[in-house]
Amino acid sequence: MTYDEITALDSFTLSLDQGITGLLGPNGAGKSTLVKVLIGLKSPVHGEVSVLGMVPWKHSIFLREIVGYMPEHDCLIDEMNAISFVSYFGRVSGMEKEDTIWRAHEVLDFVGISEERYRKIGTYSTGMKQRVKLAQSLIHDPPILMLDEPTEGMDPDGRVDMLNLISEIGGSGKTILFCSHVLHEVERIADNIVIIDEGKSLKTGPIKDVLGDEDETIELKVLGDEDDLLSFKKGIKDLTDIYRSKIIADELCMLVRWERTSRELLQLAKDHNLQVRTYTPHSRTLEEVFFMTFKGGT
Amino acid sequence: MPMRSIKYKEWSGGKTRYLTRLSAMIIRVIYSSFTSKGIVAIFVTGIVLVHAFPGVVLVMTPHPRLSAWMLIRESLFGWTYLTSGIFAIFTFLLVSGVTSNLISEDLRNRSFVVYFSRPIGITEYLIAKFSGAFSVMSFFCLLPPVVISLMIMATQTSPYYGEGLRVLLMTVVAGIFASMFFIPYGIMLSSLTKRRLYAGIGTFMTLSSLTIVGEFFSTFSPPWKLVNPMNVLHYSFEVIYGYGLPLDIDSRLYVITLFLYTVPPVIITIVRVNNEGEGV
Repeated sequence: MTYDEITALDSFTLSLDQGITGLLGPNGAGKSTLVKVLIGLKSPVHGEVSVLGMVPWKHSIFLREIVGYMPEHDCLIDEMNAISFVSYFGRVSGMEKEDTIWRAHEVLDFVGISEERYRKIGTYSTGMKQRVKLAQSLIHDPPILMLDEPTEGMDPDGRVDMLNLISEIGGSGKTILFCSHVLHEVERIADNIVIIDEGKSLKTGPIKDVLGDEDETIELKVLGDEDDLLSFKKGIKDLTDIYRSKIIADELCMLVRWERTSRELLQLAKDHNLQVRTYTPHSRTLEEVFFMTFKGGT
Repeated sequence: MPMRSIKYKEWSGGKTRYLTRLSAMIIRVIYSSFTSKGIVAIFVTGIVLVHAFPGVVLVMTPHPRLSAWMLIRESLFGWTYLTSGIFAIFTFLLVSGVTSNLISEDLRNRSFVVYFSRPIGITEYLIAKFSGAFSVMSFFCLLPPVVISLMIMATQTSPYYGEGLRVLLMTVVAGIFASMFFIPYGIMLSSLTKRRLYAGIGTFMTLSSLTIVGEFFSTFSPPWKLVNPMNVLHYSFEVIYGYGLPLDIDSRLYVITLFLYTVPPVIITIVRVNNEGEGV
């Protein structure tokens, strides 16, 4: 799929299951483009996209019936108050007028907008606007939610609260696509993750598998002379990937992929006259997976 | 922000028909227009000056029946009813106010995405905005002339109503035409700027400028009369009420003028909304 001769998405297949799927990628990776394509807001110059067997920009009306979208940028009408805004877009989504009023109150209660709902949106803080954006995407109770950077601009408390909200919505049986560049937030609430770059899916799957599919990663600390440490590091690098390494005084700390036996590693350290101080299997964070995916180890 | 204890609840209501969704947008345009002090001021002043005064005179003056002459040609202390400059000026003012925020609001707030992430397309969006503006304009351009026509018929001295009903039908057509004719132009300007003020003043000033330019050059060449939007409105009423165009006006040029006032603005608006809607 290309725009202005730039390939935005390339042979990209995304399977969304119930629960929360985190969509990760560096700036310009195509996260927002992907979401807009999925609901038919953008159509490519070349290429094909299929969602539920349909072309989004040709069957956008049907797809938008079942999708709620929270955009990344400001999109609220400043002159309206939150209750009018949310109920208005409930009606535009096809809800009965009687339903929209109580439903708007219900979703605003849920996202934590209380009496402020009667104030003009233009007077809201960024955090409150994010909550109203979430509320408008929920008003018609869509089975699929696409949230583009939902915690953007929020303070730490607000971020935690927003993540709890999303987590709770995810627990109600909805399918949520959660785009973010804040890795620990995705790690905290996502059931599945997709890492994309330059329009390609680099890594995808349940978050437990992605974090744990390389149990052979170990954290190693060895003591010895600097020359021996450097020689040992080179020896390891010839055998496998080093994700991270740091020499402080006479200690070398490393995070390495080690698919061989521990005996071989210990023997290698002994051959270099080094003393092994730490040898532990490493539980990786999503941040490490993310950087490993892009850098392939350092 | 306080700690929440409210759980997410599902909604299981039925969905409305497709056109009902657009009615929400139409009602919002009407509501926001009639809650704008400026528009209400123009509306009330216009009703008093343009409709109430001539209406009272037309109804109170003894008349055998409702005729097209009474509505567009009869001189009422120096000016006519529907073809007077004051009717056109208030139509310009009202259309400027009503259309000024239609698209500029969504440009300013980047809220196209909230509309277009819902089951409506650009065509439906524009139809709803246009219909909302048309509804408001019809309260000034359609409803009062029809009411006055009915009052004239109710107070006529002749027992024959056939001709009056025919004129009443023409009045409905003329009212619909006047209500909708300048909306595409106003919406186009609203789609070109984020500022409501710029759109409103821009619409009124350009229509006024065209009036002055058309009036000035028409002294040298009659076709320039068609540049004047007041004249276009006036001639359209003449055509609708069966008097035809003045002899010095070329009918082809008149049709081209109608086309230029409506079709290019619609195309420009669609292009603007399409570009802005995609770039969200």
